[in-house]
Amino acid sequence: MERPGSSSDQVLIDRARAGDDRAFRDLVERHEPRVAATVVGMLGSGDEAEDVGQETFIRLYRSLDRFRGESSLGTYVTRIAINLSLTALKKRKRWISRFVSQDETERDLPEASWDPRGELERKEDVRRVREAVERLAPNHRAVVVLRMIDGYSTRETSEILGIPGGTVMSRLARAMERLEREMKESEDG
Amino acid sequence: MDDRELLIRYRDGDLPDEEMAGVEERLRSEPELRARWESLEGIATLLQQGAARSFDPFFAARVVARLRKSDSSAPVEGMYEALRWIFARVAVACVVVMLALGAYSALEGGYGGSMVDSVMGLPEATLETALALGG
Repeated sequence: MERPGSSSDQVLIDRARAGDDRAFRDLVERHEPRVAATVVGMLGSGDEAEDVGQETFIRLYRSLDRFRGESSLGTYVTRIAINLSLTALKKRKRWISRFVSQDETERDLPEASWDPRGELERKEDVRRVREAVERLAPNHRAVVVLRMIDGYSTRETSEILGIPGGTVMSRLARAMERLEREMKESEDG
Repeated sequence: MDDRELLIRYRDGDLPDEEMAGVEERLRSEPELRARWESLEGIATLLQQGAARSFDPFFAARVVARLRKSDSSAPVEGMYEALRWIFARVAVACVVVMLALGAYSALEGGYGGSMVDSVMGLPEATLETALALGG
């Protein structure tokens, strides 16, 4: 995400720590695409995603003194974003848990495959796959967002979520299976 | 490892060379696996195409404004907490003093006729004393 000729993350962090608002604003603009992909992927677009996106960077600002650079700033900020998104989903779940059974989101599904279609239906397919992602269980959704949208490797995803790599793979496989099935069902229906 | 996980690892290039070659061979010879691969690739493409890459315009400015707003409210919150701390201790001290005075008055017992009068340290009130006070 770093532009040629622009300051490195570390330089911007040092300046932001010294109270330079412009430097922090540059950091926000640099990492906004990654945070937006993560938060909107997890929560869908809207005010809640905007709020969690803002809160992600405010938490980042308040933890700049503790950032030691063991991971890249991108990974660090993604970890904050995914954790805040999961918390937001938990709050949301309190409201809807009476109406949607967890068994329904976690049940084993039969094998299915889905045929991607031509360009004409692409936008409709994008909408349907986004809706299908929003129906995934939060822990499966997080893996799909980090692996398939943000482009993190299995190892990076494992570090961000604090779960073993094997769990990342198994959740991803199950989530992709469900997405294929939902795409096929909505196409047939 | 099931076929879907195998295909994801194949897509990541996260398999030893001989297993990569084995998957390619299977993709050529097994239409069902080929269909599953195309399905996986199709969904991966849609996920990428549908990904948000920004929030509404001027997002960074809104973040900095919110940060500064929360910074400016911090001293007020600090003062509120300090006042709460002081009031809590003053209230406890008042209760302790009142209990001590009440206990002292009750033990002395030299004022009123009732227990309440004794605890409150009130003199015995009669009609004569009230009239005398009124002049």
